[in-house]
Amino acid sequence: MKSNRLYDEFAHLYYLIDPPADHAGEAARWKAVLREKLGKGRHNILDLGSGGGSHLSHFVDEFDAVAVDLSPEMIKLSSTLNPSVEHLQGDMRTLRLGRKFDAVLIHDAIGYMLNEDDLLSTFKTAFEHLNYGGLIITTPDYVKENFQDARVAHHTALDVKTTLAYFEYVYDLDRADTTFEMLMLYVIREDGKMRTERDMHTLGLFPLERWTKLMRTAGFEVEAVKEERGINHPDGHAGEWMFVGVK
Amino acid sequence: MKLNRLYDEFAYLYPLISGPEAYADEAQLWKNVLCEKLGPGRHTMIEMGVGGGFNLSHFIQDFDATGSDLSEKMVNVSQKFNPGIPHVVGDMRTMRIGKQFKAVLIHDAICYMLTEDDLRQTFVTAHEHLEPGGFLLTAPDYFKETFTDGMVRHNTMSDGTTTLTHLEYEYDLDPNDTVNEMLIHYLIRKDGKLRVERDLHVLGLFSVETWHRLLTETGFDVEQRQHSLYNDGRVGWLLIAQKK
Repeated sequence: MKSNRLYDEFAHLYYLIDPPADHAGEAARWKAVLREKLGKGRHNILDLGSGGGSHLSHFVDEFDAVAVDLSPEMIKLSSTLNPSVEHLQGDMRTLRLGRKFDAVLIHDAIGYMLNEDDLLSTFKTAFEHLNYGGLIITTPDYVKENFQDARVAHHTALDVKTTLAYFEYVYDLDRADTTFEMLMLYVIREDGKMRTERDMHTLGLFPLERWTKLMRTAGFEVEAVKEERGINHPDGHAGEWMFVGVK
Repeated sequence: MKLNRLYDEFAYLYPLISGPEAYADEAQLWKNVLCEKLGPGRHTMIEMGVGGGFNLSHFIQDFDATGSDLSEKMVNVSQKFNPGIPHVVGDMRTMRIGKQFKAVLIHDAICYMLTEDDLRQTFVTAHEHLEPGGFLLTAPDYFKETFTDGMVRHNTMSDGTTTLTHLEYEYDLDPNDTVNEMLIHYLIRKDGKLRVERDLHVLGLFSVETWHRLLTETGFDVEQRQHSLYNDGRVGWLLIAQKK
């Protein structure tokens, strides 16, 4: 089965799956953390793994942002959504811009770090790009402790041309490794026809203690913040842990 | 008629799709109607399109029940689940078993009737298998007027060896024809592997007027009742048709 097609051949469906409006609540929490640590003012931020820019779009009015992603298609989308932001192509593990920021944001793209080396490299990238006192905020979908095997999420949306039903199934075939799998199914209705497409995503799964330890190894002082929400929350446990590191 | 994969190669997974409890409330409603219409006593009945037999299982204590289905594999599933109950392999449009019953039940299997002609033939079959004054009870998932495009359902069940997640998506590609589509994905996990399979079901979609007209034309008096027993929020309908 082909992998990560969402960020390439299905980029045109991206906002039907991950609309900017869905990020408002979470972005507000992140902005509250930024204000608490950095105070008032128009600070500069670096968004790594910015994807379609849905999350980033909630920051551009108050912050000077630079966005980086591995996928040219995602950069095109995000550039259109966030025209005031400078966009660059790069790998969060190895990127070196030679510039410093007040904050580095890595939303759920951090999930594509599949082993401890990848994760540590990314934290080092963040550290290299921060001013002293600057902070990193990141949120994996799951940590080992709250992983929900066989969880289904679904969503339907339409625009003028396409009606999309999107299904997501997360599972862990091998509990001994540091990854889990996410199968995405796209049911695409266009011009009175239906087709289905599959897209496999492999994502990192690490215990809480490993997240904080690797961030410390990279040089951060770390806070792990858990959002308290009921088990009936539409996203279940996904994204309930937020890691904040201060350089 | 080509069988959908669920009723053929995936028949063995049927017990992981749902269970008898999913049918309990609705079966009670149907039994109450039968009791009201037929009076007390142990009456004869046949369920056509019995599938896995989960609905039928709620009737076998109180009725002399028979089951029938187009799929031999589903008949086997239902027989295992309802031991000792006679079953017949047959197409509800054309089967003739040479017996008459007090009641013919056709649950949502009626939805596989895709044209008015299919529906009419099935009503004729029911009529042939009913004693005078007997009742046909049937329940389409939707009428044309109540269809909700984009309905999603999913469920995960495990038997210890296999964990099945099934994802259903109902839609209508062409609002001008008499059918809608239901796409099912089966995510089958076994021995540390995931297998994904797809199954497209085409279902009949007719107006309330069509149902009543065809039942009347084939010799029934028709009554329609509404209920709200489905956990997906859909309004349920029960058609009660008495053989004239």
